[in-house]
Amino acid sequence: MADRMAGEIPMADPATSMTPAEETVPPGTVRDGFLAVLPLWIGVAPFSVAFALLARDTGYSAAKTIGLSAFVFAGSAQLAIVDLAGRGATVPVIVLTVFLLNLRHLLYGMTLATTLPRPRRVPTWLVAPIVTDESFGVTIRAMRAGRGSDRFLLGASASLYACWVPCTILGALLSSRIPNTDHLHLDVIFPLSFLAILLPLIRGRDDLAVALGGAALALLLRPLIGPTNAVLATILLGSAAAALLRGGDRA
Amino acid sequence: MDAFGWGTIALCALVTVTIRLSGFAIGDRPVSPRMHAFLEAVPLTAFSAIAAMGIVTGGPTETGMRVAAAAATGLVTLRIGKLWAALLAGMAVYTLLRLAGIG
Repeated sequence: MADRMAGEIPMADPATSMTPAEETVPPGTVRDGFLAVLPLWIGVAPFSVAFALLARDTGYSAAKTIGLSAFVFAGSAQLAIVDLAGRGATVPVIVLTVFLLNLRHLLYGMTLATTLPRPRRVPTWLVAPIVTDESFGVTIRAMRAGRGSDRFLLGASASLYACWVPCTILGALLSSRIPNTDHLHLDVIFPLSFLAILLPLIRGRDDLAVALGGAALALLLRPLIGPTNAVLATILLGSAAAALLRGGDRA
Repeated sequence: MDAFGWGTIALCALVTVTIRLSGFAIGDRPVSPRMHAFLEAVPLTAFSAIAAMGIVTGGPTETGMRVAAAAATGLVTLRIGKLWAALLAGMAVYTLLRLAGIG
């Protein structure tokens, strides 16, 4: 039982891309993935409630607010939708913004399709629409430990969905009774989560250089093109630079 | 079409789902070694960018507290390797600094 606790994923041997236990450790299950994401609920839940409150203040009905979370299921894109709608933006502008905000998921999907162990047991149409930054990260981290699988990815993604949508419902229906948690600054858990996901992926000087370069590039670009575009630009430019420098020798 | 309407929500959902499915569809085709190296670097660049921008934010005092929290998270990650323990350590340091009146 102890080794099934949330987030308890055996670390890979940092000197190699394969953990010594990889041949004996069974691939992660849906349950493993679901539990691995549970610690992130601390940050996701208030974020979802905050989204619902913002949508209400902007003029969205409870049903449409819940619909956004259930069908779009993309935090930053949802915030952009209600913000833009509230400021009178046209539908094409809103849709184009959502497209740009989600472009990084194209790269996430390509990365997962290329690296998830085969044969994949879960239909792509079932798991792909609910992959998030967090479930992608936790699954990549588990793969480095020899436990990543499409079932793990499904569990991790479903875990986020199981937190995000009900919390939006709570926020939309009970907004006046929910205390404001802004003063707790729970949003700090997001960068900490990604740092904790990132560190085990760094396996040597090359990876360290790519990660530090990515951080520096993002901070450099943020004031110029905004945070979301900075993430996308960093992924494209940083990963392209890494591929050129490595010359595909690690593929 | 109304920006607040169900049609807009449906369009946004369609765009989001299409992008997420397309990534898998493209990645399921054979990729060159160079593209494989590119995709292998995606998690490193994506997470370093998101983490850095979330840590370096809100002025020097706030950034300082977040850097301290990040240091605790990083230390526990490297020592113990458990996600929940790393987040607990980082949140504890951040909260203590806030309670101490630094933030």
